[in-house]
Amino acid sequence: MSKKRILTILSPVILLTGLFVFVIRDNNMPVEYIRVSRQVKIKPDYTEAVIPPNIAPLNFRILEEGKRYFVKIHSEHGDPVTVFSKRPKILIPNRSWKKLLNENRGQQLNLDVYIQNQNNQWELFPTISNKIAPEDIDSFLVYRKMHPTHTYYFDGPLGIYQRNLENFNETGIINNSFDSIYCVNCHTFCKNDPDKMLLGVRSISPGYSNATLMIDDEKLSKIGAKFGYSSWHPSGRLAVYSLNNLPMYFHIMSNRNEVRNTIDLNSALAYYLVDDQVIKTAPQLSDKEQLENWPAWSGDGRYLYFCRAPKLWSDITMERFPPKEHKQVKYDLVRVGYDIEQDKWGELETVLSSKEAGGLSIAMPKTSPDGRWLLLCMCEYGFFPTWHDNSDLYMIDLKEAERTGKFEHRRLEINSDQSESWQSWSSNSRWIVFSSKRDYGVFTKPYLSYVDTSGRVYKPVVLPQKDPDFYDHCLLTYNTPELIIKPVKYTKGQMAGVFRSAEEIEVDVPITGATKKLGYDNIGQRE
Amino acid sequence: MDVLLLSSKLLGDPESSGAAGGHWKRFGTCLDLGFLNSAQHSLMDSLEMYGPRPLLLKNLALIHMAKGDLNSARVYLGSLSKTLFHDEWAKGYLEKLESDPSLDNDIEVRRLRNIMFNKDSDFNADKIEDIFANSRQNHASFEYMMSSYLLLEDLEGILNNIRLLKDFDYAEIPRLYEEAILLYMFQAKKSVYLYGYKVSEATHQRFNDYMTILTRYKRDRRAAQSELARGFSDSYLYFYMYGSLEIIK
Repeated sequence: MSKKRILTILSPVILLTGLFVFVIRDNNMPVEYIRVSRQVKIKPDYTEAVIPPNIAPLNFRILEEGKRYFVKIHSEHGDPVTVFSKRPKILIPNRSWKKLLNENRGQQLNLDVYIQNQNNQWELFPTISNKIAPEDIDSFLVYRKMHPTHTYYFDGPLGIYQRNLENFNETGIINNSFDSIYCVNCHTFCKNDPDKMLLGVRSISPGYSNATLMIDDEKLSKIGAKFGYSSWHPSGRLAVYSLNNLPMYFHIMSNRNEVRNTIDLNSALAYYLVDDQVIKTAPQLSDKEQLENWPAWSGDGRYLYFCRAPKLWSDITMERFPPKEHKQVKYDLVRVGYDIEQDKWGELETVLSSKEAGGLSIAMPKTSPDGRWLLLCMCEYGFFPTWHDNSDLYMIDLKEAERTGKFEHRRLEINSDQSESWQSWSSNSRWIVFSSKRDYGVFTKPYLSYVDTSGRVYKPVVLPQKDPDFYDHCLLTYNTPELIIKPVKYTKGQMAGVFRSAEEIEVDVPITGATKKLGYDNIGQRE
Repeated sequence: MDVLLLSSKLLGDPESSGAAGGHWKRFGTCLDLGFLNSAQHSLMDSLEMYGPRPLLLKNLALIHMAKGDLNSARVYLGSLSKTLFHDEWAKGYLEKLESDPSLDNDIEVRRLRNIMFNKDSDFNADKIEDIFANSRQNHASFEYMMSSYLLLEDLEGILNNIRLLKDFDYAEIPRLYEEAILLYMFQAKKSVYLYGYKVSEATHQRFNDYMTILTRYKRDRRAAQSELARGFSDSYLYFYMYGSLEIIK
């Protein structure tokens, strides 16, 4: 047998066992190395995803033993970025990373990982590939950061923060380390613009009451009513919000990872007209026999989508809490037309019933700003999917629904076996951000996914941190991630100052809670 | 206090018995009784109140490992691995999670899994007897149940369950139970069957000494209290008679 034939037969074996030695010419790269066939493991999992061209460096840890590490990041155009490290933490220089990504929009981003083993031999692993999306993601992400449980709302770290996605800078918008501020939540922006923003603040301090901070055309003011889950009309002239009675309860004996749960005992929707400074409601939004929650305007502002379920109890006491019917509460997705010029509401119509959704309960609808898509999540029962392991993301093509009259929903492939929730859109409708428990258990983290024009949603990446090990010991949970096009310009001191000032927009809330408020303390439920 | 000392130290030093209470201490009882979710919730509340104390992180990690929620456990262990005195413990478990994610061979995790209630359990958890009836292998549940009988002065409850001491490998009857038994015999004026166990000579002697003092005061409880408190404040007889954990200094 000829040498050539032997080599031909053996070459796959040689390649697989890594006996093939390459010699390459590059000043910064290992000169000699062997190829190994197994995939290198890195954490976070930045592989086979689509990433924003303006994202901060995706620093990562190589989960392989080695004496030295070398990573070459390259694409179709421009100079590769190289990182040499004696530790498995790979910290990518920001400037060259940004340049490379910007020059290669729509191209593959390749990572060649070399590891020097204990025998001083360099090993080259199969290339890790991601794709750089053509479109940017909004530059800032706003989220609420807190301990997984906040029963007592002690000082910090509960707060609303904004993170620059193009680097690692995070600043506080408001937090509960200020006197009189107990809880902050439900931040909402109009078309991803922080110059139109709502943010709820709760207080139990004497002399203060719950309120909503509003930025409208850059002016910061306080409304004398606490808004719940809110949605701005795309015109910015009004915002719909929920009024809720949402006591927590706890699963004492189930084997679920998440021990907490919340029930929507009573809810309705109201809306705030910005110019008139009044709060109103409509029968379609506040039926006493129904629970109404999670409002979301359509991209064109002609429809208000929300979740709605029959209220299965009339009155609730601590002795009857949680009501035995609570697992039968399944929300439908409904919508109602709205004429902004006439301030007139149309007929209520069911978009997707729980029955049509396989008996699941629908929550958190979010329409894309271009009006094409409606993203929602569904879970086993109830209104709060974050605390249900089985909560998944689904999508409805609204354009197709208008054409066919059928609101078909599909489960997204990016779901994990843990809870996915709190989804929202970028201003260009090409990115979504959502909270997931897939990697860090009860510590919810934000994930970014690309959505192409056909509605396909790609494998997400977790919000990158400067230290790739950051989440491994981060005891805080991130929820309600919302993308915005520029930073909120008010400081947390200014926000707190306005909340604590006596000046406020006085409003009358046209709905009173029919259900007695229950405390948030340890209400146990056997399961 | 270690729950397994309940039978001997329940009526002793009030400081060590946890009479002063403390929010975070609630998790220990829940954990002992197998209510891992409730323990988890108490610990998470404590984390909010006191910050990431190693004791809290350690127990949260154990609970999540016992429940099979390894992702949450890793985060608690990751945080703990950055502390000065508990890093080795945390790193040990992090390594173990890599080599044996089932943790079937870990003694502590196995113990928690053995006693934990899960969704298959369906009973009224308001009564300690019901909790014990549903977790008969849980030594802590047994001790809590017996302690509740002591505190409720249910002497028959103690007596009826002496037969279970064998299930938990007691070599002898704990002192407080012995005193309760003698008290029962004294009141009922009859002997009882103790399933192979017997009340120790020392306890008999102490019981007699107690009665001697009481007789000297002509059974006047109030008059005898000061002297009895000096020698018997940790006894069940004293608790039964004066109904308080208070110690007269």
